[in-house]
Amino acid sequence: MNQQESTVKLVVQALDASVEDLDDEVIRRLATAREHAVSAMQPQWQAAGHAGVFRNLGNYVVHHRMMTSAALLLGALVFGFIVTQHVIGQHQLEQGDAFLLGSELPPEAYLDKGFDTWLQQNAR
Amino acid sequence: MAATKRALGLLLLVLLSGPAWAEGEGGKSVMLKWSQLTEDQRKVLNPLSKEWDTLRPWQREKMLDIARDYPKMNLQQQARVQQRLNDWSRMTPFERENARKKYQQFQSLPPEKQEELRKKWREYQSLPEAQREGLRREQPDLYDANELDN
Amino acid sequence: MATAQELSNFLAEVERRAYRQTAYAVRDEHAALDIVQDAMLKLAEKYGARPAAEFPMLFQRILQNTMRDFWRRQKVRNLWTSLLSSFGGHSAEDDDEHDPLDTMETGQRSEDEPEAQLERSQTIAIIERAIEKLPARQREAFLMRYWEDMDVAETAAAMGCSEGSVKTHCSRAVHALAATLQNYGFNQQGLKKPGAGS
Repeated sequence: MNQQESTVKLVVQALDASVEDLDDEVIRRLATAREHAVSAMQPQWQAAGHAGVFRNLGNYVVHHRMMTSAALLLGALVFGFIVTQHVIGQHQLEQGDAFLLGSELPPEAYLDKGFDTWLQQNAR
Repeated sequence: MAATKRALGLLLLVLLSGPAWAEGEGGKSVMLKWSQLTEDQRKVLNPLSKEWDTLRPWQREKMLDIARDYPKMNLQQQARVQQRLNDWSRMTPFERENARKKYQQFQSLPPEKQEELRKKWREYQSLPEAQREGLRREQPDLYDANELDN
Repeated sequence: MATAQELSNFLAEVERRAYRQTAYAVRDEHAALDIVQDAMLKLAEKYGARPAAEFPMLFQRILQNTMRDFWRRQKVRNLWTSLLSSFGGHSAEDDDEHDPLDTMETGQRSEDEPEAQLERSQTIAIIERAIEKLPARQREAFLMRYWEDMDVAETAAAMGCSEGSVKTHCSRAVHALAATLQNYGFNQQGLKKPGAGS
C-alpha cells in the first residue's frame, strides 16, 4: 500500500469514527429533520411512517451486523443522555433565546452591518 | 422460539431507534399545533399566533423554550420578548444563530464593556436613517470568493 | 421516480456524514445542523420526483449551495467577532490558533480514560482539524470521492466542475493531508508523540 492509499484509509477511518461519536442531540435532530423532509415530499407518508422506520432500521442492522452489540450499548446510552439532557436543560439560566430577546441590546444590534462600521470608527 | 426471536429483534430496534423514537412516537413538543399549546404558552407566544403552524419543528421547539424561560424574567425583559418575537421568528436560521453567538460573546465581556456597547448602540440608533444606511454600505466584504474557489 | 421510503433510506444513510462534512466546512455545529436540515428539505421538496440513484449527487449539490449562502451571511458575523475580541471578549475563532494536541477533547474526558482510547480520540481530532484546514473545494472533492464513495463523474456534477478538476482537487487534498499527518508523526499504526519521529 503506498503512502497516498494509506493516508486515504487512515483519514476515512477517522471520519467514520467521528460519526460514531456524534452527540445524541445531533442524532436526534437529524432524525427529526429527515422525518420532516420526507413528509414534505409526500403527505401520505404519515400512514406508512412506522413501518418505514422499522424497515429502515432493519437495513441498518443487516448492513452493520458486526456493530450490532456496540450499537445496542449506544442505544442504551442514548436513552440515558436524553434523560440527563432534559434535566440539565432546565438549569441553564440566561442562555436561551428568551434571554437574548429580553436583553437590552436587540438581536438586530448583532446583525446590523452599519453598527459594525459605527463601532469600528468609534472603537478607540 | 420464533416469537422470542421477534421480541428480541423488536427490543433491538427500539433501542437502536432511541432518538428518532423519542421524537416520532412521543410526538413531543415539536410538532404541536397552535391549538395544542397550553394557555400559558399561547399567552407568551401570542405575537406568533398567526404564523405558528407554518414554523418548522425545530423552530417551534426553540419558541417553546422561550415560553418556558419567560416566567424567570422580569417585566421589562418580558415586554422586550413580546415586542421582538415576530421579527425573531422571521429571521433566517443563520441570522438567529449569528445573533446567539454574538450574544454569548457579549455576555462574556466585562460589565463596563457591555455598557459601552449599549451606549454605542443608542448613539447609533439616534443617527438619521440615511447615515446608518451609509454606514451599512461602507462595510467591506471580508470574505471573497477565495474562500470557496481555491 | 423515488418513493418516500427511498428518500428516507437515503437520508438516514448520509445524514450523519453530511452533518460532519458541513461542520468541517462552516466550523459551527449549530449552523451545520441548520444547513443539513435545509438541504434535506430542499431535496425532498424540489427533487423528490427524481430517481433515487441521483440523490447522492443532488444532495451534495444542494448542500454546497446552502453552505455558500451561509458564507455570504458569515461576512457580517466575522467583523463583529473581530470587533468583540478587540473589546476583550472571547471568540470561538481563538481556538484556531491552538495546537489541536492542546485543545482536543482531553479536558472533557475523565482522567482515568484508558490511554488507547485517548490516543484514538486525539488521532480523530487531528485528522478532523486537517480536513477543516483544507481549501473548500479540495475538502469537498475529497469527502465526496473517498467518504461518500461517489465516482468522479458524480462528484464533478455535484461540484459543477470538470472531472479533471475533481481529480486535481482530490490529489492535492491527499497530498496536503499526508503532509499534515506526517508532521504529527503518524505512521500506519497510528499516532506517535509529535516531533518524536521527525
